[in-house]
Amino acid sequence: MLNTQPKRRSILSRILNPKYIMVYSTVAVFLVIYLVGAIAYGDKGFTSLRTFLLLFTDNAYIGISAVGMTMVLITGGIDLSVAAVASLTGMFIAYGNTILGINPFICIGFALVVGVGLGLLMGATIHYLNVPPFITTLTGMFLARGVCSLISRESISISNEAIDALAGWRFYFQHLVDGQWERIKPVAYIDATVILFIVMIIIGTIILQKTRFGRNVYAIGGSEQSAKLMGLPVARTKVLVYGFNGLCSVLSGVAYVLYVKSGWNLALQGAELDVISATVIGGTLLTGGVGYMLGTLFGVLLKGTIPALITFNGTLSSWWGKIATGILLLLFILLQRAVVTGSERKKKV
Amino acid sequence: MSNRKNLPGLALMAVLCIAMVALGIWGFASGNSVQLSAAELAVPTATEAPAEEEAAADEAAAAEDGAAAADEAELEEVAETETVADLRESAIAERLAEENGFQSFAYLKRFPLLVTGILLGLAFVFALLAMRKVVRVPEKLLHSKLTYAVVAELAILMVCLWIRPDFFSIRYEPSSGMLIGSLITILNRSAEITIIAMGMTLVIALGGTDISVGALVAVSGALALKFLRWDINVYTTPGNYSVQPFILVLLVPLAVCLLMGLFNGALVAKLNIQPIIATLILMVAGRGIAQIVTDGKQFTTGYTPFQFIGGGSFLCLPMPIIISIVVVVAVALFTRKTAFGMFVESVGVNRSASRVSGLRSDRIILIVYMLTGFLAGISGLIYSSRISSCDSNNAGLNYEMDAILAVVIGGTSMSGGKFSIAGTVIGSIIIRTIVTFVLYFGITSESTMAFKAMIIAVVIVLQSEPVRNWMARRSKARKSVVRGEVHA
Repeated sequence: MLNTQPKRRSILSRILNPKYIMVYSTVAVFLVIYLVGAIAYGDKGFTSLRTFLLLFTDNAYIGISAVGMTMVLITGGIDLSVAAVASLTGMFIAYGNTILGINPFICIGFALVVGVGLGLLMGATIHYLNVPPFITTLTGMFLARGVCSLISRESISISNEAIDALAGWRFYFQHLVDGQWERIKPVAYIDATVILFIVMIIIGTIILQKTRFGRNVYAIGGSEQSAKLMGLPVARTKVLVYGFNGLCSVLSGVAYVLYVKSGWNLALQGAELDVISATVIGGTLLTGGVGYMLGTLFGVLLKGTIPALITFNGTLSSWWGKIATGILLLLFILLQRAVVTGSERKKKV
Repeated sequence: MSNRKNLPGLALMAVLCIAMVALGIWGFASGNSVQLSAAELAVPTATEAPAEEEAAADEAAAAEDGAAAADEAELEEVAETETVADLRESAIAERLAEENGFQSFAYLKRFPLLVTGILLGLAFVFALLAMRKVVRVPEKLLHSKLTYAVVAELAILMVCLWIRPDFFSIRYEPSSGMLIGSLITILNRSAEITIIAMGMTLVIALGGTDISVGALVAVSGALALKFLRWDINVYTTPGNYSVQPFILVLLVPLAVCLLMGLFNGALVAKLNIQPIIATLILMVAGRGIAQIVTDGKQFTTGYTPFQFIGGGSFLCLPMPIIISIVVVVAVALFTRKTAFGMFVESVGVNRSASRVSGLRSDRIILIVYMLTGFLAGISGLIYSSRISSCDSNNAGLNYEMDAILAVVIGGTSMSGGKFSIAGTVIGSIIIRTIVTFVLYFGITSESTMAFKAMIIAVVIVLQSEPVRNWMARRSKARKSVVRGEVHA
């Protein structure tokens, strides 16, 4: 007998749903590494709230971009242009404001138009012309980087009141001491980029989990052909996903500008790899169909913990970070492989 | 009937071609025999270009002197080595031109006209013959991606020729025993990408991608320099000999790259991991490994046998060209004269079907990834020899992207299956031609990316499935119309 009514599940069984296993393993590895750091460098202040929040501050621009990347990877695509578009945003703001004297927010608006436009264009090329995403977005990356260099080859610093105010705004964590609010020590704060990062993660989660568009994204990633046969708007969804990723790249560029307060044509070179590896570490499958924003959040934090640990160690050179990231990637890829193989075996049985 | 409609256009084209050829021949002949007057020298294309070039030449000459005086200068400029090397080569060509008495290119100024006219004329005659059904254009040619790539390359070369009338000139330079000219430079500088792209072609034919090659180039260079300069304080000046047997300096990097290729291959073949993600690991970690090998330093070397790999010459051609020719021929023979190429295509089309029909798919995938790693190692040796130094951050930067583009432009589909070695070679040359072409405009090498992107976008859109289908449909439709009229 067909059971049309969805089975009611208890909250516990819903949380322990095996489809979340990748997210949980990311969280677990993050906790393990954080614990290792806490045991080794706890006395140097690794466990302080400040260090924890700095993970967010230092990686906000990677995280914002990773939100869009997660969605692209879930559809089974890839976007290599994110870092170049972010760098282009920085160039627009820096050149527009410092050299041309345009209001930085108009520059950001212009960057949004260009970034989203480029994203939509790439999405359309991928879908309608059937060009592989890798090649299309690679061309987009070359284009954006080239335009960056055409605008200026030098680093341009940004000094604008509004930008300074936005970059300097901080929410300090305080606690009650003798009836008065005081900043906790060591000083812990979050800034505008962190808020943007968290907001983007929440928006991403809502889009993916609560909207029809999000379900279409998962369906396309699961099997594009089936999605098409089911009558889902494949073309619109795919193009919009790349457009949304363009938006995320531009916002990531804005966050980076607030972080370093300058624009440089070679800024963020290779950051697309950081974004992709953070997303993969966060449990998103490159084959598409699987991935959660929460996993991406922890992927970004986990990737950010490694440089933090190296800094706390003090003697290790920074390039160990690259190797550690490589090892983490290997670990998670093997884990994903094991999970996928396990579920396939179960299906066969 | 439809042919008659086109007659005015065809006639116009014919007149144009004949005029161009006539003008070209006249200019060529008169330029060679008669001394040109000052007025004729003041042709914009002929005078503007040298002025720009001179500025570049001065800059490059200064850079060259610096490099010759002290290796430290080279170290500082290592980030810009590529640009400097490019400028240096054009500067050498420029100086030679002056020494040989070519004060300007004025005598060549109608050469572009001649060549373009002849080519257009040939195309016109061919089109006419094809229309009259005298020659049958093979259907294959119209559908082949390779045709588009060749046409694109020719078009870019034509534009180069219009900008620099002496673009095709090749001279023998006795002091270095090398041929010198823009075309040689293009081939020379495209060697690294060509070599990597050979492996990449096979990987892509398997339906995969290897994005770790750029990092492997860095690893190979770092290892070679590490072995060459085991004792950091010696081996800075030419003529010093390595403690290590020189063969070790070459073999160790190649062996390590082979092993890294094996690692990639094992992840793809044995663990069924998606190739992009499997090779992403080494792409991220590779540069870290290269940094650790060299302890984060940039070694330089003056060891002549090592410099020979990137800067020497053999049979009047620069060594990188010779090496790339050897690699291309070897890979072509290996894939086309044995069944290996067919095996690769078969695995690329359907891996499990190939396994069921008796192919050892896993082993084929392993071999291909190992080969790619090995070729990346060769490319790394050439690169580090060219700059006589190792640079873990910038060596092989974006090589994976360039190599993949070369393969795709050459007509090998990213979804696997059929591959074309010749196409890849042309693709790699196209990419380098674009860079050279943009450098002639006096634009910096970083912004060449934008032009590269635009030209590649055009080529990719032309090659994309829907566009080719549309063109094929159009030509078919036209044919059926013609046939219909004949029957009526």
